[in-house]
Amino acid sequence: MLEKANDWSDTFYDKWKPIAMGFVNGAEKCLQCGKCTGQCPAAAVNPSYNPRKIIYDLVNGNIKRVLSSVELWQCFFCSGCFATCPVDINFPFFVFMLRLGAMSQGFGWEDVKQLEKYAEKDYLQDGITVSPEERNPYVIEERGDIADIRQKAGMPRQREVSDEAIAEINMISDLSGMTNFMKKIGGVELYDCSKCTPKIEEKCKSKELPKKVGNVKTHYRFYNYGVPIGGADNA
Amino acid sequence: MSKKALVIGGGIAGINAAVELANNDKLVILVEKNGELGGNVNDMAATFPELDEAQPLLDEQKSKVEDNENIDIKFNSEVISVSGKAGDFKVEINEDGNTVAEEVGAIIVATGFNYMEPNDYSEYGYSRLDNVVTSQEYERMVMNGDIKKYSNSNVVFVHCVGSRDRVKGYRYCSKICCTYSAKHALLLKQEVPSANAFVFYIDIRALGKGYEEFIRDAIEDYGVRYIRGRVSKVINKEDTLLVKAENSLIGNPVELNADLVVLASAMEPQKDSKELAEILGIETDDYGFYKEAQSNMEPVKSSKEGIFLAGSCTAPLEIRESVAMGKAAASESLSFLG
Amino acid sequence: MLYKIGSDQKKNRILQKIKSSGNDNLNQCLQCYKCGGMCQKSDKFDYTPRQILEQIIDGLEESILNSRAIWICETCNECKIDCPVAINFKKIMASLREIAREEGIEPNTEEVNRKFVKKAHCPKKEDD
Ligand SMILES: Cc1cc2nc3c(=O)[nH]c(=O)nc-3n(C[C@H](O)[C@H](O)[C@H](O)COP(=O)(O)OP(=O)(O)OC[C@H]3O[C@@H](n4cnc5c(N)ncnc54)[C@H](O)[C@@H]3O)c2cc1C
Ligand code: SF4
Ligand code: SF4
Ligand code: SF4
Ligand code: SF4
Ligand code: SF4
Repeated sequence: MLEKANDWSDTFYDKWKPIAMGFVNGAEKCLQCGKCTGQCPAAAVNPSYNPRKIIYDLVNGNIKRVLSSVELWQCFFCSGCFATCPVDINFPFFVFMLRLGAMSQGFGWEDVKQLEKYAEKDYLQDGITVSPEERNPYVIEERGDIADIRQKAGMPRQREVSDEAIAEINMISDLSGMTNFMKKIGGVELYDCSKCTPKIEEKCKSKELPKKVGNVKTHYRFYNYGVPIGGADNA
Repeated sequence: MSKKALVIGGGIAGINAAVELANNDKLVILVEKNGELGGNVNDMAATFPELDEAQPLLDEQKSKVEDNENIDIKFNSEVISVSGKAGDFKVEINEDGNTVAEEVGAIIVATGFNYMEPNDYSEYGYSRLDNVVTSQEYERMVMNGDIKKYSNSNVVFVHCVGSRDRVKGYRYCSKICCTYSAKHALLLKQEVPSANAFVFYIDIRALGKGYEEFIRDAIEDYGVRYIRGRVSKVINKEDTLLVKAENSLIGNPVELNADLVVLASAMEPQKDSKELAEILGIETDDYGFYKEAQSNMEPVKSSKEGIFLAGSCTAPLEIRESVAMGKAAASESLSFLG
Repeated sequence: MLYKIGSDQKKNRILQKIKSSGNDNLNQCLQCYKCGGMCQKSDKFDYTPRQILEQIIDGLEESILNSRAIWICETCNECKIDCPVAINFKKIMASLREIAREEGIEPNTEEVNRKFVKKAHCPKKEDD
């Protein structure tokens, strides 16, 4: 796709630098060497995910492309790229920051919404971070169900967390603003940009994204970093 | 009466400085830390960009020094103290355990570089995996014929190991590893035509006369495959090596099975370069390379009058430039030798 | 997506075919990016010409033959005229379309090169 370098700006990056407690800086040091992408597990399985390209866009100020991309949500914070980068760029932190930025512009909420159940039920109520129900089917097939394994070893099927600890978790959640956030993503409604009309577009532009509790609108995102095999128009 | 000159370091730069001075009827003391002359060129099979055999070239250079009665070579020696000023230095040299005092008019420093051992690069598995070697070890393998056993196999050359790396290596570019990696791939193709050569690079820096053409010849005429992307990992997999990187020209990660991985490691300053700088009273840069009086106009003068610099003790350099600097340093020092 | 480089160039079918159609200077490409910047159509391409070339060398058959670029290319020859090593992209693209057609791959874009549509049924196929 032809890009217009005149449209780029770097205010986003400069604005976020101080907010991110010093973790997010030095993107301009990037050598574009590709060492990060070469070992990234997400890049190995996703057709178009590429951390190097995201950094490049951030430095160039082509922030629109980053924020509206599907790819931004494909990193899973393994930090392999940070460990290997020759100029010490903490890329997972960049992703964290960029996702917040994307959400502030109305992208990606539906992905976050998927985690709602874990956060509410497993984390806040039971105090555990791995859901006993939703487990990777491949692992279950290969290794067996962890609950069975625990039982065989004479442990309760699910890890037990004391009430005290659960109360503490909830307190942390309240203080850190997570509880509030959970309420906010209560209902997510998707704008269907593929059926966009000039009228909707106008509405979309003129209206700030609703920040009200319980109903966040979100935009479609696009495969901005390469077309998945099979052509262009299935983004 | 004319004064003697002192040349520290008997690499290719020091040899040329000494010969040049001797040809001008000056007496030269050549102090070499090791038991032989030639420095890093001793480990070299052939030279770019003409692929001349290195050892005959070096032997010719060495014989010029050894046969010369104006040059007093002190092997296994080091300079331990320097006092006085330009035109009238008093130096003490530790020669094989004995201290000798000398008076010299000028000093030429040509102590060369150290080849970095990439032990910190656990992702490349150097010293942990067999068949992961540095370029210098590879040159020796070419010389003793060890690479012959890699017929029908994949050999991967990795650029910028230890260079262009703020975390585990140096920020500078080692300048010649792009060209010598191309040389290595070419040597492979010549010695073992059935082998495949793959070179992983960030940029190709061919900074010298004929170097660009040399590298393009490797790609075009010898079919060496150049892939843009810094190697991320080398993993041991069922008695071959798995090399992982990104082909950043397409934007996809790529994997490659290799039988030999060659790391183009950085050329770093000698470990004792800062101590020697203190003895001599000259400045170094942050890395430990010796600093010129002025980087554009005075490439061979050190920060102290009467002391000159030559060769790769100032920065990573190829032979051609080391030789040129040796000769230039010799001619500049003549004015202090009466 | 992760791919593997095959060491055996003879198994690289697509490279052999492109080479045999009279393009023997593929490995002279400098990856200088000039072609993609100049091509009138490359704003609609998914891969710029040099990226297609890189993929041919690595034998990424599936992604080349399924790309949009090979159908959108106008065979205008501008890229060859300004290429510093005269890579004949017009010819490469034409061969790729023929290979794709042999494989039964349909153009997956509206913007198909008019010249190609016109000659699709011609026994002589595309001229040079
Ligand atoms: C793998 C590899 C391949 C290369 N291939 C090529 C090529 O094909 N073509 C090319 O042009 N260049 C090549 N080079 C570069 C070449 O090796 C250098 O340019 C050359 O060796 C520089 O010579 P020098 O005299 O400056 O330093 P050196 O060769 O390092 O010599 C320095 C000498 O000083 C001595 N010394 C050090 N410290 C002291 C001290 N304190 N007191 C006394 N003596 C001391 C050392 O023992 C050594 O003998 C290659 C380098 C490497 C690593
Ligand atoms: S490894 Fe670091 S320097 Fe290299 S491309 Fe990735 S972020 Fe940039
Ligand atoms: S942290 Fe994200 S970008 Fe980095 S290697 Fe892991 S998945 Fe890839
Ligand atoms: S000369 Fe080439 S291989 Fe060596 S550090 Fe510079 S860019 Fe890297
Ligand atoms: S203009 Fe020619 S040399 Fe440059 S990238 Fe394109 S095909 Fe390669
Ligand atoms: S021949 Fe095709 S690729 Fe080349 S400039 Fe014309 S449209 Fe672009």
